[in-house]
Amino acid sequence: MHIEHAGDNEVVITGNIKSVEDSLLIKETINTLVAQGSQNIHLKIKDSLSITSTMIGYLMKLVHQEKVHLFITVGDSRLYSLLEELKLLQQFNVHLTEH
Amino acid sequence: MPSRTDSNNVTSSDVAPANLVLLLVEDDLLSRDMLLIKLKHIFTHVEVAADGAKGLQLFRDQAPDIILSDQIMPCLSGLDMFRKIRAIDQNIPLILMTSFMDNDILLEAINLGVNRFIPKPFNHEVLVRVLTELKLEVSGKRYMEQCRLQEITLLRYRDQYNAMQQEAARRKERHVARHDLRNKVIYGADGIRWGITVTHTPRDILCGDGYTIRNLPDGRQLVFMVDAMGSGLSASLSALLATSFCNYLVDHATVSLKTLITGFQEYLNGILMEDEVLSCGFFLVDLMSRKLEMAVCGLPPLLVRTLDGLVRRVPGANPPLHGCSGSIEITTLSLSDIADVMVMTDGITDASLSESSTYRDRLENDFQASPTLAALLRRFRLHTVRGEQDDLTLLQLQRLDLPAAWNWRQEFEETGQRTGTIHGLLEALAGEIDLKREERSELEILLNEALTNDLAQGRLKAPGMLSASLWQGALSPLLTLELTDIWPGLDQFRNASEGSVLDNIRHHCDCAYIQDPGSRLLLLKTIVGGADYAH
Repeated sequence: MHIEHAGDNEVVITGNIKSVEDSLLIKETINTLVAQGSQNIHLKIKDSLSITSTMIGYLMKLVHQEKVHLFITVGDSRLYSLLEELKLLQQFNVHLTEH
Repeated sequence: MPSRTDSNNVTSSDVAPANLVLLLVEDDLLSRDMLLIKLKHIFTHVEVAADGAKGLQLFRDQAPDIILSDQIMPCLSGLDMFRKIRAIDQNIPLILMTSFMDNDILLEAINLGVNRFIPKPFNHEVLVRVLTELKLEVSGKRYMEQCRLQEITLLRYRDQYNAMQQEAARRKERHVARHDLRNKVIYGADGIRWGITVTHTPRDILCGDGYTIRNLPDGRQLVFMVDAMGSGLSASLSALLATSFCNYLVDHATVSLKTLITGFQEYLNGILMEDEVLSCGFFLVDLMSRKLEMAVCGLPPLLVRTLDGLVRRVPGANPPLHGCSGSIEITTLSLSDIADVMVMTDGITDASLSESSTYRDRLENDFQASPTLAALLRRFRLHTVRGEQDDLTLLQLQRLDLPAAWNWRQEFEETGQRTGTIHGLLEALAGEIDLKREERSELEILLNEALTNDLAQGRLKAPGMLSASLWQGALSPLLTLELTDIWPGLDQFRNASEGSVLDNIRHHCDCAYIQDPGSRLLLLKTIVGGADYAH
């Protein structure tokens, strides 16, 4: 997995989000942006087919406790389906995009 | 740990005598006596030999720690003795004393691994320094070895302790995960029989999955399944606490799904950490009303199969629970035309098939082919990598009275007719479906085992009856075998289920149910037939 951030609020992830280490890296990156004052985070998950439960827990905390406005675009329809099954599309503002 | 002393400054008085044994091999009496005076200040025990042959014997008998030997001696020279000693012990420190040192002797001594040389006549200071140095080296090595052994002992103790703790944790987990209806037939409307099977395979001793299956006093059943998202002990504790609390609510409160969930949420808010989420499902099974009420939060969609084999996915209505979750939606599924319902945690769906796909991609197809949980699990294990699997929990609510495509039954009046009955069934079955040779053998063993165990325990009350039916709602047919008047009832079954009586039977079929009251044993087995299992 590779992660980079563009601007004040955009985080771009390429590759599969599989391990706890991947989740921690994403958390750290987003935490840095939030600590710098970003209240709108756009998470672009380009081609991961899944997401870890640690990540889901963190994003829920971000949305519900820290009141961060989250916007996720996913490039893989399987990840979109997973988030749909988990009833998280609305909470996480998830959109499926072509990449 | 002793540090190595600076050899330039050390004297014999600096070093306390250690429990090391020195073997002195010297043929010259005067030299030997002089050496002994010095050596007794350094070593508590010195063995003495007057030539190489005696030295070799003492080495064998006394196992000294260091050997100090003259080179030129009768019988066996110092180097000749060392050569023989080295063949036995590669590590013992050797010191060679000699009045002349030609190159050949030096080279051979080096090749033999002689550790030090002491020129004759002795310089006492050199002698003391060399021996003290070696003594410290040997003592240091002994000490290190002792430490290593102590460490190994400690690790062994810790391993034993950890194994004990893990076993205790596993027992606790089993204690909390209840299954009131294991192997029991449940009655629904119109006398239709149902059963619930579950498989729970933790990746670690304590895992993030949990379940409980409870029989309620009003005849309904409550099933709770949980997958605490995340990993490690924290997730395990959350799953254990959630399951345990659910058991408590069932045991101490009137159960309506709504009140149960409200109480559960209140409890959960107090125990979940801020970034922790819980995927779970509450299922209230009301077979008399033919309905399944459920509150599914973040679990993978249920797989539901109708009596005519149509499979559909029923997604949950709620996201995973967390500390700030709002109200939870309860939905109802009619069981009127349902053959079975499969509920699972994401350990099934998220298991890797390859770098770019998960078992989610083929789950529905495999479910379509598998009429039982055991059959689905076999396919799952065939396609996924075992070592990489997460905790797995999979539960099936299945109708046992299914519209049969084929029926067979035979009464037998006496025990001698048992073999003929079994063969009769197998022949009839083979005429109906493609039965693999191994399956036929397994069925034969299964039926013999079921009947023999009962005969041995005097439970058979003639006339008995063996009946069989085939349901072809799934791609692989489901064979249901029913032995009537075999089992005396649930109480005796409870005892039997603890022992080996049913173990063999269960080994050869997908699941076994006991009907109570009624002395009936139901055995379910998926028939794969000639079809290749892997495809």
